[in-house]
Amino acid sequence: MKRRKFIQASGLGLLSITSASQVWSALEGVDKTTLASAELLADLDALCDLMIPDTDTLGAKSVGVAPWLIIASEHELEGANSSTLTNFLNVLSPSGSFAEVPQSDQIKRLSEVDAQAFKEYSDSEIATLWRTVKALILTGYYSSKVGASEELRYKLIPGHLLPEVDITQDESANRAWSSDWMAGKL
Amino acid sequence: MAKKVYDAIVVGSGITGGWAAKELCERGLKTLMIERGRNVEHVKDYTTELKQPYEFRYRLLGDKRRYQRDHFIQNQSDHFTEATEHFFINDRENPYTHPEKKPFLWFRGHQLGGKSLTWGRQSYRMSPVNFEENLKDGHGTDWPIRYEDLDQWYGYVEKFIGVSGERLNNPMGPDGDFLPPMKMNILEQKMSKKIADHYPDRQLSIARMANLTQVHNGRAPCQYRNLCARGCSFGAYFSTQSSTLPAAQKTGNLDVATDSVVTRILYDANTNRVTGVRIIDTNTREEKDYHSRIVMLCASAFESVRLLLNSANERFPHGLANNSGVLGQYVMDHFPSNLVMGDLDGPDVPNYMGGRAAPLYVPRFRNTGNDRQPYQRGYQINGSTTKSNWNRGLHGSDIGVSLKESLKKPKWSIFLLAQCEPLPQAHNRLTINSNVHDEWGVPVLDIDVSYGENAEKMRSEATQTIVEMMTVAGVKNIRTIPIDPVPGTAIHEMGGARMGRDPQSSVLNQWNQAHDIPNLLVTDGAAMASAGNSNPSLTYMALTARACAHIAEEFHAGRI
Repeated sequence: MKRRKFIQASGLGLLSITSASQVWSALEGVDKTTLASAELLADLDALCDLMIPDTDTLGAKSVGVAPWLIIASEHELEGANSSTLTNFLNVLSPSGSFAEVPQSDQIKRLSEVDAQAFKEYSDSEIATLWRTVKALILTGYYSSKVGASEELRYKLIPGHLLPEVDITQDESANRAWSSDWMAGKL
Repeated sequence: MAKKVYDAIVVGSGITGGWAAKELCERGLKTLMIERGRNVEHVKDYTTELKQPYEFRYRLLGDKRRYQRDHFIQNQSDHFTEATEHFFINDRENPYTHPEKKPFLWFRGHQLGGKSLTWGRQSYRMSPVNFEENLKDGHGTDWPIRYEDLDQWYGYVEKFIGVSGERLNNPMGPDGDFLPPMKMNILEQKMSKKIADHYPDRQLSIARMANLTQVHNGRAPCQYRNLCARGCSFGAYFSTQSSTLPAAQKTGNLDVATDSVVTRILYDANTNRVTGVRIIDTNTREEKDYHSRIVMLCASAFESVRLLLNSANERFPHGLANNSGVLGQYVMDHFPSNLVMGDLDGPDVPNYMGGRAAPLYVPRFRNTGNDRQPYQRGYQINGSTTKSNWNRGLHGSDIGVSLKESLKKPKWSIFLLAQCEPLPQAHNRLTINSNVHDEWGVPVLDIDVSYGENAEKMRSEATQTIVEMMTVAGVKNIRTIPIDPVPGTAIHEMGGARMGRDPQSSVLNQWNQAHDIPNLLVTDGAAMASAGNSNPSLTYMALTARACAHIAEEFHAGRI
């Protein structure tokens, strides 16, 4: 399938390599995001935009989560592997590029998949893949500068502890903190 | 040239190694502290301390592919993240074995400061009951000391390191010399009151932490980042680097040798004394001997036992100072109940500012007073109220603007679980596996630990009790998350060179000296005759300070 080849192989002397894993293996140490196909990035951008769109703050597409998804899956974050993204896109949109599907159909399709994935934690292939991809998008966005410190609140050195902040006087005081997401462990 | 002979060698630089160095140096002994790992300089080497999440390539989750190759054990610790991975060992280079179907998770940090850089910092005294239960129920051997013997040393340590906590006047969690406690929020205060009203024997309090709530001994107070395991330039939590090492260095009596793996304790059969240690320089791979009149093992519980076992000789063919035959036996680690979670949402819930580096704490209330359970020993409860934020999006169905808006609102939840005391049992043991060697050619440990029927009864009862307490406290949507307890998970591994009254059944006497060799001491967790039900590090520190005072007295009197 042409449309979702991971690598723009022409000019790289890699045309004889057919599987994504072979490609990744051959390119150990190379920054894969610079090699990812424009089509793959477009599909991932579309996914990111549906999942976390621009509102009063930038969304996942605008802050560049898509290239990070490729790094994250290659390094097996959230249980992903180097095939997770392409496999998901293939089952999500078997007839062609997801980015080229009309947006109303994109929303409909992704909403169906999302509902199925979390309904009694279905173990179908697409549900399993989506839970992984969704986790990566969420992590990529809410640990970005915009996601962490503009959409949510972030302070590296609070300096003091206020165990009770009155949220009835100031609605913005009720916004979640992003800074404790990896620290709140015993 | 005459060989240099130190007054004392301390093997290890973690929580107890730092304390041993401080106490021996301050008592006038020329001391060499040996650390197998690299140097870590306070402030300068806390390289991730001020990094933002988006400055980490893997956004704090780390390179899982590399972790599977190099950190397949360490990666299972809650303290191991992309921000702290450099304070944990490479598992490939530091193997150990265990029987099939009896896994053990051994978490280690080979650097100056050891695990004092990444520890959980909860600091509790063991209770008088803990020191008496071995004798009363017949499991393990009787401690050669009682709470009264350690009371002043607990205070001595608390005053130096700084422990924040609430005084509860509860004999199962004896009060100490505390700094002001970290504050509970209104939800926690309400829960605490409901629990106290319903259960007169139970107190929900804030954990006692080696985190400063005010300036203390020249160290700055906690900045409420809750990122302690990255290292703290403020010195706001106790570590070797922030506390004991500067004190030892100030005396001018301390030498430090890093990158030096101790492979053997040197022993003179004519005098029945240890005379020093042999090391491998990890940079040059050359062997070198250091000599001293006292050797104190603070290498971490299992490494100290491993060193003793690997130092077997003609006089002690089954391990140095092992006339009793129990060296390596009676090892322990706390085990958890199942995890119990619930929601605290309501119209009046507040938000907070700052990350509180202190969980919740309920002192033991089982098998004490008039309470009797169908198992022996007991447990304390820990947990936390948290405002879960965006990561709850991983577990539910939603996309788009509604998801984004929903994740903007924090949601209060609580989790509690019990920390249960294991029985000291001979079949839980460490032996040397001579077929497997580490990076330095040293035979590795085989770790054989399992929990038994008593543990299952305690876990089951504790889980049910926590559900009931949460219900009383008004927690909603209570659910139980099963935990399959794998030994080692608590990172409270201890025992193996236990203290005891009888040289025939224990390795160490009441002063942490080997019964068989009086100038050899072990003061880390290996010395523990029982585990108690609380986090043990404060006890290790108190035992170390006490042992140092005694051996220094013996040294100056010319008896060592």
